[in-house]
Amino acid sequence: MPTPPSELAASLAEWSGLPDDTRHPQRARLTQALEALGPQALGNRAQEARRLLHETGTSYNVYGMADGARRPWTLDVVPLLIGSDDWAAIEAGLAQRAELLNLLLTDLYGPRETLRRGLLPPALVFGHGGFLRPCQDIRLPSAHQLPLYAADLVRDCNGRTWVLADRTQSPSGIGYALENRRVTARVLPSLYRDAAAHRQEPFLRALRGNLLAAAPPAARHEPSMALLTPGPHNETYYEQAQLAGLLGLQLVEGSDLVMRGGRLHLRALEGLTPVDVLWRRVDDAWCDPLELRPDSFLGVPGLVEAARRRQVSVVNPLGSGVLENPALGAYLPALARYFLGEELRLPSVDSYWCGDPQHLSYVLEHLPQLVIKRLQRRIDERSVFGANLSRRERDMWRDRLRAQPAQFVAQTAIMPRPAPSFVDQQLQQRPVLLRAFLTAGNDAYRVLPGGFARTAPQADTLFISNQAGAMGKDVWVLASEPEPETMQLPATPPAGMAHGELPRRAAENLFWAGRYLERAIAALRLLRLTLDPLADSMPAPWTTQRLQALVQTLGRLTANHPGAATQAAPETLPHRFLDLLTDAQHPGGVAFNLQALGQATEAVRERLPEDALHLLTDAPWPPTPADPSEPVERLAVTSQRQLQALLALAGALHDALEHDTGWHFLELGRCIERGQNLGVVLRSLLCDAASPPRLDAALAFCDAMPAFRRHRQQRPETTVALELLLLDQRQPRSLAAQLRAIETHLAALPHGSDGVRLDTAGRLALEATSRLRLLDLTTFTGDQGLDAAALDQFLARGEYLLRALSDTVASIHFQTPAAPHPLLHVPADPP
Amino acid sequence: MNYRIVHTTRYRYEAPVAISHNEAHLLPRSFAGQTLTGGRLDIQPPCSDYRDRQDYFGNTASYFAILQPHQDVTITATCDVRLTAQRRQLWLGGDMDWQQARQRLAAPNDAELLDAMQFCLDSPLVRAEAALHEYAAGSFAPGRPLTDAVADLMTRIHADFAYDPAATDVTTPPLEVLRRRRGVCQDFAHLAIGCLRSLGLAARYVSGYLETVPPPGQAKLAGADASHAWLQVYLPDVGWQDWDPTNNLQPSDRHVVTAWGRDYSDVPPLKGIIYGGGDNHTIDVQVDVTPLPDTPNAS
Repeated sequence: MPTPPSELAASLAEWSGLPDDTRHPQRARLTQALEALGPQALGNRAQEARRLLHETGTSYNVYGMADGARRPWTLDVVPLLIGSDDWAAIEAGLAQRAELLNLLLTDLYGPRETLRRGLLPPALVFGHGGFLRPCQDIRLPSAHQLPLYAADLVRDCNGRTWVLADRTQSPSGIGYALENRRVTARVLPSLYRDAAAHRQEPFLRALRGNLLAAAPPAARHEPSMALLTPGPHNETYYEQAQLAGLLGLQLVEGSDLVMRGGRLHLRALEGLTPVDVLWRRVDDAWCDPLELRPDSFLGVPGLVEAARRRQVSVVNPLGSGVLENPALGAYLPALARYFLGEELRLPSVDSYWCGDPQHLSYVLEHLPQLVIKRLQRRIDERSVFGANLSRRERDMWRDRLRAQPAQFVAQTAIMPRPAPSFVDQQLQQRPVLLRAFLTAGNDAYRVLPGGFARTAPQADTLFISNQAGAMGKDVWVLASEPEPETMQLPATPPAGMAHGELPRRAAENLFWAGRYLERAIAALRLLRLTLDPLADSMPAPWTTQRLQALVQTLGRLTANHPGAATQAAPETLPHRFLDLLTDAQHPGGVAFNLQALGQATEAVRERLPEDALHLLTDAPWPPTPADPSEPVERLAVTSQRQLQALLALAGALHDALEHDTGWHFLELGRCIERGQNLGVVLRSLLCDAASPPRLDAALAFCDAMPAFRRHRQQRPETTVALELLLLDQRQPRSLAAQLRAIETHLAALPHGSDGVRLDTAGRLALEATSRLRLLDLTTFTGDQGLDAAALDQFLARGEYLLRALSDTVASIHFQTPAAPHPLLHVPADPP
Repeated sequence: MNYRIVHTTRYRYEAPVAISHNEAHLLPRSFAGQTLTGGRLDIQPPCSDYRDRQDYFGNTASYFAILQPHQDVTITATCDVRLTAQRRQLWLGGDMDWQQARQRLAAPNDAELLDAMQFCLDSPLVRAEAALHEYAAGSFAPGRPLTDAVADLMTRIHADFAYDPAATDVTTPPLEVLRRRRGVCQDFAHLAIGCLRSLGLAARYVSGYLETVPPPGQAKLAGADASHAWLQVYLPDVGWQDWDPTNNLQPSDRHVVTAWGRDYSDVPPLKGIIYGGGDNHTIDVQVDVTPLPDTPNAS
């Protein structure tokens, strides 16, 4: 049911806890404006929001779903309004809590006074999987040991704010908060102007400053900083790429990094370059297979040792997961008195650690009102709500708690206070959860105004999680007076950041993005050519030799994709061609190449121009399921749309990508691929002894038909055609054009560590170019017409050279050592 | 007693290793009753980065990296250790009953108890399973002095379990050892630790060496010794007592301690992460524990 306007007004006041309207005319105006919009207009705004989010490809990866299950970020367009007085109180509570946790962390990996004094049960710390003994001596040089902290907040129906969970390792959500703001401000512009919501930029600047402040003293002058991502499959990869770009950090995976001489280094193209500050989005235990989990591929062997030596500052420090313990909440009030001499301002939701016999008996008795959590969060386990359990299940849980009490924590279930939300095309009350972010270096903690809220999809749920389909929601902290306009973050990072360095992995992905792009374009162009005769004379006689030659060529170009098999029945051709577009299993097909292109570009998305990202998000692949009734028409339309999208992408990359080393790799990949494809197509169309040369098809494939028509009168047709296809540098798809470009890009690459192999690449390119320059076309065009065998031999050598060149480039620039793995252990033997 | 220990580990890889990062617990720690008088690691090919540190438990942990391609690496630890009778003296006054000890550990009110209590908790390789509790209960009658009860448990493990190097590897859980009734010293140590923890007692894993004595009339063979493992049990007000279930004895001046931790995973003699090396590698370990003549300042 839509919420009547009067109720809406009341509920807005409820969440934010503002005094009555008359004293806050600003909030009253906002409320009125929202009311005035009505569900229809809000629906339009929501649609616009979806479009904006789609455009940037804002997404969230859902675990446990098929590969590539990226969920578009969904947004509840109604912002959560918080009054500035209300916020000031929350802010103060958050800052106190962050200070407290910061001091506790230092104590737990230091003197452990809190345990000695009985402020915390020792088993709560020693028995927590996040207490990592190898991290004992790790300290950041900055005053604060927790540069970044986040808390999940909930407000109950009495208006009291509680902390549901603390995030102290690598909290996610800042990027989504920025995204929520960007979109909400754009779809509700006048409302946003009126609200004068506190801005987010100062927080980002502070965050960057605090990362710098955490740098090891020796590197403080010009620290180089990187963001360690678990990779494109991580649930919040989108945000990681975005933040790396915004803060000027190099986005790296574990395999990009290596420990040398006690320092962390990036495997850049030019060699190893040191990394001084590592903002890691990888959980503690996965960061170093040597001293932490040996089965991790996400970390860097030796990272703990480097952090201990203070040669690298890992943010947040390794081991900080010990604070992500839901049972800590019960002891924070006493800890606040001990560390700060203050009362805790922002309480944790009531928590009971079952390892304490008194708490356990309370939990066993009150199970229906409680939420059961594990002491240590597991990605595959959700909290258990006692209220939702059957009698039998409750008994089962009671046994479980008695058997392993120390592993479990129970918390009072709180029904989150609802706020007006736009869900299912209606303004409705929905429970909301707020995640707040804080950052500190040498100065006090600073809070991101508002943070990032989540709206539950259902009205009566206690469980709000992105993995379970919650919607994002912007949070506006209403300014009591207008804030001065602040400068936007500079687009280019300050000098000294390791941004110009191209990691080998990024170079490799760009190179392959170029190759997949061209490979898909070539297959689509050839498919278009093949469809022409097919469409003209349906049902086309399969015997048409030209068609047969084209299908055979398509087969060669797509690595014998079954969709282009020449042996199968001709009537099935259109359907089989559809397979080329839809079947991503077979390498070589269009669908496969597009999928590979998507993966390669996703891995370097922080380097791609915005327009290219939009095009990739909107890309017409995979195509919608085929309509079997009109396959040829559908094929023509689908393949044409895909081709145009790819050409647009190529254009966007060419126009907007900075012409740096990464661009040279992309272009090199494209030219090598084009050259190879040309060789394959020409050999198939012109050199097949069994059928006459198909000059027209070859020219059409290379877009050289218009030029051919202009020049055909001057000399024999075969000579003119071969000149256009092979020798004419003005023809963008000629072999000569590819080789010239290859030489240019090759020359622009950094010299690898191995000069010998670099010469190898150069020699291969030189041989290919020289053979072409020395080519006398009359060798191929004797009195008997085209000498197919001689041409074939020439082209085969060219193909070989390009393949060897590609391999050489890969071995010089991309090769990283095999993934690290642990040594076997030696059992101790008794004498 | 004075001993020289030479512990040589050789890894041979199927394919070249580009880089390796390693951590060794090979240099024996010093404490009341044992002094390391000299110790060093020789690494071939030479390592590029080497650092000793005190780990969380106070053991010496050595980090090193080999940055040159290699297919064969040899790590030799050569250490001289002096043992004194002091460890024996710790035994006096051990008549506290085991339930009292458990109670003291449950409410640690001093630094030593606090440190000891973390060895009551589960660790990566040893969990206090119900089956272990069941096995241990036979030795722990109410009111029995802790030392007595532990001695009885050691005797039972020694009698009930067969020594069999083929039965287990370093990751075999104690429950599995209990089921199969066989294993090596490390398994017996883990088993005993699990039994004691299941009773709420504090037990820790000790990695070290034991001097072997050749059969009468035979010369001692080079490399015939091995690294050894046993456990320590905490006795409130007294300290940590050594127990060797493999040999059913109370270690004294023939057991050299290298390191202790919650279980093997805290103190493996060597661990490493390698880049490359192929799918297989072989390990060859040789240990010699040789008594040295008393030096003038030895007690």
